Amino acid sequence: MLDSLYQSLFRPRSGVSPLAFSGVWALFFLLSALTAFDWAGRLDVGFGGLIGLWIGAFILFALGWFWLGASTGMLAQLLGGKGSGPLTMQAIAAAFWPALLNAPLLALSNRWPKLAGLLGFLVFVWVLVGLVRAIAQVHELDWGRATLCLVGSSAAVLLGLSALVAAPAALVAIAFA
Amino acid sequence: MRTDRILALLLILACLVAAVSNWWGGSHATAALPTLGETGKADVAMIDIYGTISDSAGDGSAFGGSGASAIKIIRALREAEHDGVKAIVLRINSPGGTAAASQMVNEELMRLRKAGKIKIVTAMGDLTASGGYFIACAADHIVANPSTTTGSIGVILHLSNVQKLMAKLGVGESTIQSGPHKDILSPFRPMSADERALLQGLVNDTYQQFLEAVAAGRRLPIEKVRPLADGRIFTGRQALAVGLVDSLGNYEDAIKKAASLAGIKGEPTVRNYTSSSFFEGILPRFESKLPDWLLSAIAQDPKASWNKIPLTLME
Repeated sequence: MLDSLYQSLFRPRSGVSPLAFSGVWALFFLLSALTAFDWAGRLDVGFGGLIGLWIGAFILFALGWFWLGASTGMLAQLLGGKGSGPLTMQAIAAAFWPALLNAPLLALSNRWPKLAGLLGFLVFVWVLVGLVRAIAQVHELDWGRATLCLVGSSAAVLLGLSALVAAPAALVAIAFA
Repeated sequence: MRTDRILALLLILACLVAAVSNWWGGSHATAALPTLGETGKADVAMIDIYGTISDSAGDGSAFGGSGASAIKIIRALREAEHDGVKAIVLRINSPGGTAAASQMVNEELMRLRKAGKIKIVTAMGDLTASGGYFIACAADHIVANPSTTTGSIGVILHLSNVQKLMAKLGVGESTIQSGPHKDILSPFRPMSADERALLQGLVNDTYQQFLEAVAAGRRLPIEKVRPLADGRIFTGRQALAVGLVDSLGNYEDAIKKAASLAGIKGEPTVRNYTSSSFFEGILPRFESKLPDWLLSAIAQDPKASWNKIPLTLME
């Protein structure tokens, strides 16, 4: 896990180092912790609220990763990719290492909000580039098709998330209509 | 361990430390207004009075929400006095609170004002009504925003009668008491005429004390205050026209006024005497609590009734 982090942040040119599945859960545990601390600060909640946010964030990260990985794997295969589903998911997880930097950037924003905003945008782009590189590396695709694959799978994830929210809401609306 | 792994581990630790500080300190969006001179001597003490005022409002313990604790405010005032500040700015955003708590703070402020060493200025926020105004009126000068909601000078006693609901549920209730008026606020039976008269007397006496405090604080005759003290609310601009506030402006204007009244030359150093110390800030984080925006409207009123705190000066 630490090797993957080091390679992702300090040696990006050498490619994405796919995470073992145990490392994936550790990464999401970490990312969800950082996200939970951030939201707990904004909402001014105590320890109990922090734990609740942590669990919620972990579930969201895991769901998002699963959907993104699965849809990316399928789309990549359609576009002529040669990689496997599990390897796709491991590589995609590893591309999210730069997201760790959002925590110190948020702390920076208290003092220098514009600089923090700019760096935050750069981190976002870094993650996107990492994702495209991961797809290209695992499936031996060129950057164009890898980018198309990412755009398509992201759209699929957003649709899935919307359905997750909209479907129960629609059912409730129908039940009470 | 290899250097690259050590670096990776240190990075994770740094990110975790940053994240924890984001939680403890709050984010940029929720950060309090910066003040200078958090420690050491300051010219102007800032005292925040946010939320419902009571004797011992919590710091956010579960189901208690948070509010303005009169005890903490008085402690902060005395600390500022001990530190030799030249002026105090009360930053008030409160719908009111219990009569006694508001009165306690008012009397402490009047004591400081009579001593003459410290000038007191109130900066009204969105809402400074009822008990909030009880406190604000003790200042030498009151600054309100033109659309601040203020006034509500009056006393109210909320009572509920659930007798019919209990009957529908088939639940009975009985009391054994030493005197006829011990269960005077019982929600399980109608109020008698005697009890109503007793409670009205209580409300009238408290109201009279409130009126006298406003008259003393604003240096107005009671006859002039009484017509304004029928419980109505005013905007900041309306309050200025009738003499309940002294000028229109914001928090920065209040600081400038405080500095001017105290004869402070140049930019005054401001220190917030109600912000938590490092340890006071950490410990409440480990209590389970629901956020204030979920609790503030729900927690305070029922708590006041059920705890037999009968009188609230509230809007």
